[in-house]
Amino acid sequence: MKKIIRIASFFVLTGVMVACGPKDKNSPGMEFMPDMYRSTSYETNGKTNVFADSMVNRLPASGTIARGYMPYPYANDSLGYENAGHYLKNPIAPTAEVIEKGKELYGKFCVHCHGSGGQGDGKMVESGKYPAPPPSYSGALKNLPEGKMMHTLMYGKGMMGSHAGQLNAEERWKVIRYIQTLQGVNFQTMNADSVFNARTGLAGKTEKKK
Amino acid sequence: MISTHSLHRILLKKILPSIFVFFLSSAAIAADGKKVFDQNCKTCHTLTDQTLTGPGLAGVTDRVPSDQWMKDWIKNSSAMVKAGDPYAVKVFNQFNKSAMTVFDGVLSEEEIDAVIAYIKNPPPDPSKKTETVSAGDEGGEAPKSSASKYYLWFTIFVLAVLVFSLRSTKRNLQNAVHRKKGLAPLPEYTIKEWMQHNKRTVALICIVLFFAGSKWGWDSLMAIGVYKDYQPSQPIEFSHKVHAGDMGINCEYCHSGASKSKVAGVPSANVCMNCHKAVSSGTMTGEKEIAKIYAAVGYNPKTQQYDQPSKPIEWVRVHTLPDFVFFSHQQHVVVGKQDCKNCHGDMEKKGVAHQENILTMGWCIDCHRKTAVPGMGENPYYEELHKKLAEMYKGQAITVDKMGGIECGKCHY
Repeated sequence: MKKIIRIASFFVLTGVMVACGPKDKNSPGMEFMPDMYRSTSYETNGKTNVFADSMVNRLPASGTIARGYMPYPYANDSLGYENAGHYLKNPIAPTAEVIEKGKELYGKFCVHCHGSGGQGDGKMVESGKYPAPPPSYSGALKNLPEGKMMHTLMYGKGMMGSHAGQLNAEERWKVIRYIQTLQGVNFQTMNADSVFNARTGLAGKTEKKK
Repeated sequence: MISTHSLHRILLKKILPSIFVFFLSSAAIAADGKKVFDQNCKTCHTLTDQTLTGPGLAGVTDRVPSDQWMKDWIKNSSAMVKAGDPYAVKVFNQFNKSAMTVFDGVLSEEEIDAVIAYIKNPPPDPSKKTETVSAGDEGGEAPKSSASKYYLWFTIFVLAVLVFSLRSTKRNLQNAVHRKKGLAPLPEYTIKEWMQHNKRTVALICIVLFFAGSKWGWDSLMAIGVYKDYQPSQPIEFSHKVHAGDMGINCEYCHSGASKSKVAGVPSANVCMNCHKAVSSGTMTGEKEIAKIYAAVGYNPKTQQYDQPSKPIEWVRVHTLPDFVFFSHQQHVVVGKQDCKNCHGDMEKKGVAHQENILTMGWCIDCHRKTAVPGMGENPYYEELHKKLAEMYKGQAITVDKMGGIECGKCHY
């Protein structure tokens, strides 16, 4: 009798321990009809044995251009940087909505390094982990033309990497509009052409080209 | 006019350097140098061996050909490279041919002297100390909680065994006393007899077992196909707490697909490199885990070149919806203006990626019934429709289900 109670209690307790113990975090648990969960078609970021590098995500075939994508004409060197600064123009007018959207994107993609006011004092820099604080938009970069900003977003510059994979061209131009307000440009009193000319010193030159 | 000019030159060339040498250890110049360094140099240079865009400046004054060379270089390095100065050309080529900013006219002679003095005698690095402290207190957080659960159960088990063995010891002792006094030993029951004697207890145990069993059975059936709390170990010990919490990086910086496509996406390693090109030592795991990113993208931190073979990082997917249901992040994030937290929980506070919610159909529909659609009236294309909806549901909030958000075909087709 004693033995039986002891054995029974042992099994009950083990059962309780197994059932209520921590779940195996590496297992998703039981699946009902797994073939309806796991697609035979390729999933984003998935794995395949068709390609040598085993990645499902592919680059566009060489020589093709995706619909709506404009190739970037300036090379990733110092000449391209200067040229972009001189000739590249923001196609998006600085309306209030554009600046609002630019601010939102800045808050997502730039603020942790460049800081909320563009002083190069983001949370990452302040934590001391990131050794290279970016220069301030109202200081060292006060007169940085928009074309150079675009070039930097496209290829990266110094310690900053390219952000072309995270932001498409339209979003990049919108962020640049917002950054220009951090540089101190007041768009309310300027139109797009005068902004461009004021920032590049090209007043009149663009007219001649046409 | 000319004489004052040359006087200036004499002042600059002869007297100032001697004053500068005199005050080399003076705190005033070093502090000034720190200011100049922070404002002009820090973006590309460190005071240690670590290479950023340009070389780390520890011991640079011993490396360069002369003090005058260093000054010329700071003033206009491009001119020196063009003139064919051998050391200048070597440095230029070594750092990816990125030209250093021209400081001629930007920094005064005194400021250049001050900054060189500052580089020669840098202050001790305070960041090293904080690193070890934070690594210590954040290390063993996750394993502690699961281990304590085990300890609890183990203690209960030991106590239960103790109770039973004490009971039997007590019985044996009682029997011994009875034997000595010449009384009959305590009666031995069989289980059947005991059950007959204690019908109430048996009934109670049966009821408890029945309910506990049904609850357990119900729960395990409900957990089929539900991945809640799934938290697989990943190839890199990535901490969302450090990145999204401490460093304040927005979710969309890495999961930038969330506002553009069906999937939020796992970032490609070049996104990691946007920061980890400079940050090679992590808060919790030091250089061990970040070295895995370098291996994946084929980056050599010593030469700062991507010259090794690359190999994709095989992250383990955590969230999977069945193939028969359509879900788009874009709809929820852009139009629905849902915060990532609503479904994924506070990732800023939790380290490893896990599934926060059950993500079953009932859970989806619950939310669709409760959540008012934001931005009604913002889109002129739907103006008529939104007007009709407002008339139809007078005074009520227009929730997702009121505009077809729980139709079968919305998600299953």
